Amino acid sequence: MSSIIAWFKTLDSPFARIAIRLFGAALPLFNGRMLTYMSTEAILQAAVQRGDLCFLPLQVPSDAVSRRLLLHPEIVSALARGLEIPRMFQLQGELEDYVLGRHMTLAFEPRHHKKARLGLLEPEADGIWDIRCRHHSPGIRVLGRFFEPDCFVALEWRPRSVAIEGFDKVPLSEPRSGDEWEFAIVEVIQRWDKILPGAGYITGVTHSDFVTENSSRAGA
Amino acid sequence: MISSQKTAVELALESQGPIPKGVLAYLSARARGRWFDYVHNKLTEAENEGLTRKALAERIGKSPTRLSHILGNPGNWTIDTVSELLIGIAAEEVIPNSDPLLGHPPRNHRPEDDFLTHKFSKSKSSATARTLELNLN
Repeated sequence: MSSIIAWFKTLDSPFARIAIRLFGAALPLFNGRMLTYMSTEAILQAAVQRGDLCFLPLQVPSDAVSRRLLLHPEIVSALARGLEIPRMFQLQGELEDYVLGRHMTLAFEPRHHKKARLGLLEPEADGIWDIRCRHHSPGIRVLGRFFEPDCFVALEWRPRSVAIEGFDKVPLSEPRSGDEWEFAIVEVIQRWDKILPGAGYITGVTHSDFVTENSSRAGA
Repeated sequence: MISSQKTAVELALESQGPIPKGVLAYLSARARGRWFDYVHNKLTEAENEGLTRKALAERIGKSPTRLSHILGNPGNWTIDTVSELLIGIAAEEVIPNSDPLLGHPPRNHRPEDDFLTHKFSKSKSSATARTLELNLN
């Protein structure tokens, strides 16, 4: 199934994008995974214990945590290269803002995120957000879902428009058709289904459904 | 359990040598996040007292769209941005103040500790997350 999805990714057509989404959604079924009941918190706990997710490591040990941010190990590895690639250390600081409870602005209108720190991506029903780290070029997007209010699970990261030396991550704006956005979203869905099988994600209509305190709707 | 392993920022600040560019970039991002938070808290207070975004935009000579853009993300904020917003929002000026990053005691609790003791339920954990050294088993 994964190889079929990979083949579709080589195509450049609307049909391929639809097929990627359909096959991606069906992946857990074809993996033959048996879903047994676990509490949502136990699912998260198991993922951390397996090493499939890690808490964002903070750089200042005296900082107090207000929100939970769990990262795919690939993101942790990228952040760990901050001394070698300064942009990644800057990203660390931007992600810590979320964890430390600082003000978050959320945009709910896909493609109109320019003002926000967090933006809901299309299709909205997938519940995928990007944390928008915009200081200087290259901008970076960290994609994931809210597992519960104040608990974001980040599963994929991409440069926004310019590649970052030292990483083979394709920027989201390339190639021209915007397929990379689709690929990144599918990656999030697949990783979620693999790491957090059976777990739901938060949907909502107001900023406080996702970030309960010290948040606002972008553009308000 | 608390690891005594120091972070890259701690090591850089404790050393007498050049501070790596990445650490400087991290600390700048951190400062912008703090200012963004501070200004938004001031803005919320002022809005509760009746200030509107439109009035604020007029007061500091920005279009409402531009103001909305500025207030959305601290990515491009400078000291001028902070100064203009604070003056417009609360007639306050930026006063120099700073705090040492080193020398504070570490938090003795981490989010993953809650997993072990089954305390998590949408908690506002007063914890720190030095979790590169995850050791849950």
